[in-house]
Amino acid sequence: MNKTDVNLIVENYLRNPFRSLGLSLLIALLASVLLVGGLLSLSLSKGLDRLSSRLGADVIVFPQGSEVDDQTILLQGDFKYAYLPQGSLEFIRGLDDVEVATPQYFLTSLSSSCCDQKVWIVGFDPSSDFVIQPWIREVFENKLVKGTIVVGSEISVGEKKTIKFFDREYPVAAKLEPIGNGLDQAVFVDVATLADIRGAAKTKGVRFDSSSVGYSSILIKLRPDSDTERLSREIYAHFDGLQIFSRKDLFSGLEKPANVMQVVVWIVVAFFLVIAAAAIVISFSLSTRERKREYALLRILGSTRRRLKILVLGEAMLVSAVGTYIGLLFSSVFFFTFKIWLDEHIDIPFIVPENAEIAAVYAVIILLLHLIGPVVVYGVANKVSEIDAYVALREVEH
Amino acid sequence: MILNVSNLYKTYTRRGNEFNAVEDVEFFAWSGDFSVVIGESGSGKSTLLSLLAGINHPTKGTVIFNGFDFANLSDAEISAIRNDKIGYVPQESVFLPHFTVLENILLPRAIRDGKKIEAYGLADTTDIDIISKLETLGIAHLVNEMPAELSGGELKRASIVRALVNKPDIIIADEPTSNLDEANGKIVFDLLADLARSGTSVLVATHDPHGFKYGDRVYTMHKGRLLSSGESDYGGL
Repeated sequence: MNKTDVNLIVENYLRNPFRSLGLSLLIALLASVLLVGGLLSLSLSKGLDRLSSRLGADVIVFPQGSEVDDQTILLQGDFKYAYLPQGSLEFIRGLDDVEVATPQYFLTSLSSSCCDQKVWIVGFDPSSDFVIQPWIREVFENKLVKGTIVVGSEISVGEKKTIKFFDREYPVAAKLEPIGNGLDQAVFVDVATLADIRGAAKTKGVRFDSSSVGYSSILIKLRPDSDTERLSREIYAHFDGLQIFSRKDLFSGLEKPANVMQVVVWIVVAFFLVIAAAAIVISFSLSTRERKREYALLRILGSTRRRLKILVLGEAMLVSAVGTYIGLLFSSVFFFTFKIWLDEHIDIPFIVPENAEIAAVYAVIILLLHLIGPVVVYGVANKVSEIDAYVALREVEH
Repeated sequence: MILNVSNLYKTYTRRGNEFNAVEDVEFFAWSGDFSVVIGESGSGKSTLLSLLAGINHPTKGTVIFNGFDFANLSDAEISAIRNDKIGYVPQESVFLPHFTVLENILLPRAIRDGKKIEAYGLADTTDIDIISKLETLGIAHLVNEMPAELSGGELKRASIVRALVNKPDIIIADEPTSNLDEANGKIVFDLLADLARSGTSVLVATHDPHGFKYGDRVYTMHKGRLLSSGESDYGGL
């Protein structure tokens, strides 16, 4: 494409601003839907992946009274003051299907110095834990010493890098990567530090109920070829007051709405794609017919057939490019303004992608949408390139 | 020899019947020739000129331009010849409506050089003396107007200057004086005669009776056949 072509393409675009801008706005809508849909879809996938890797356990046992369901466990981290029956951990560890079982303890603090909202304290047993520690090791290689804590991604830490619980300060060793659910607002401590926090609470006059020495949950890693159904039956046979979830149970409840949302997003994208493509084709067919004499003139003056094709394809690309950048600009403002709202109101794990991933989404959209115009008008461009200049002039003349 | 045309046919189908718009035409043009083709409407003059300009493809026969047979050239090669070596003036004046008259006149050069059309100013036109031609044809003051502002006659004159912009070897003009009054028609023919005198081959199809006398060879087109009419009374150039 040389400067003459660019000149003619830009002039053709500008000569009919309503038509050009109208088509560009359709592409802008498509770009917006693609960007928001793409980022939403990617965020959901990342949220689910991260959650799956963070869960780590094949089976989780919760107390019956905790009233947790398969979604709130993961999404809200909405842990209640309910504890598993005495002896349940030892029993589970003794079952043939169980490779490792580790307990977790949940406390809540309404008076920490860090946050306006409720902060969950998740205690783990370092000797058996296979879930929290690998996760911590991604950002903190050393062993956690007693009295130090690790915080979720949404916990704010001051310059002192400490968090105060019940008037006692605890140094923050590390901040975790986001997960996309309530655990991002949790604090993670080993059992020794948890006991210290309980002591601090006691000195402040805050009393946990008598069962608070129990476990809040037991996370189980199964042996290969083990049977979750059999495991559940054996546990239920010995204990009342607990509920058992497999990883599959937990994720099926999450994947369904996430999949529905993704399908809806792509249906909307397909709808706008068809509308935009049809509008571009119809508009270019009409305008090239109107400009037949001009194309004939260019042929007479020495333009090749290929050049005429480039002019039509170039104009379609300009329409697409203008629309793409308008769309990306507005949808970016929308997405990043409402990301926090989405994060809080969308009931499935949602992690805003890394900058590099966002850049990749932008790059793919820019590439795709720059091509959409030229691709859909290719047939029109071919027709223009095959124009019979002599006949075209005479058709209008006579 | 600039043009060597032999056994040229162009066949069209109208309501299922084939007819020859151009039939068995033999034609030659040398540098400095001024050839005039006359004939009634529908006799095939415009079709013949479009074939000779490489705008239209013959059904049969050969058009050899400067030794190159159009039939053996690619679209890019014929387009380059049409751009640089042939100055074609179509019967109806066609202009790009969103460029000024000057930009339209300089369009063949922009196509040849691949430059931005607005990049050319009048200073760029001096090598081919476009300014003097614009002045000769009385449209120099109109170059910065948009085509829609000009009358049919002014556009016709502008399209003649556009055909000259790349200093072609041959000017092929289809009714160059249509839309022009007698005085302006004479100015156009005088300009074409000057060009022929300076070595450019000129081929004109016209109804204008004044045009006959400018041709050193005059042909009559009748039902697609080109008949030689001999030397004109004007005595050539």
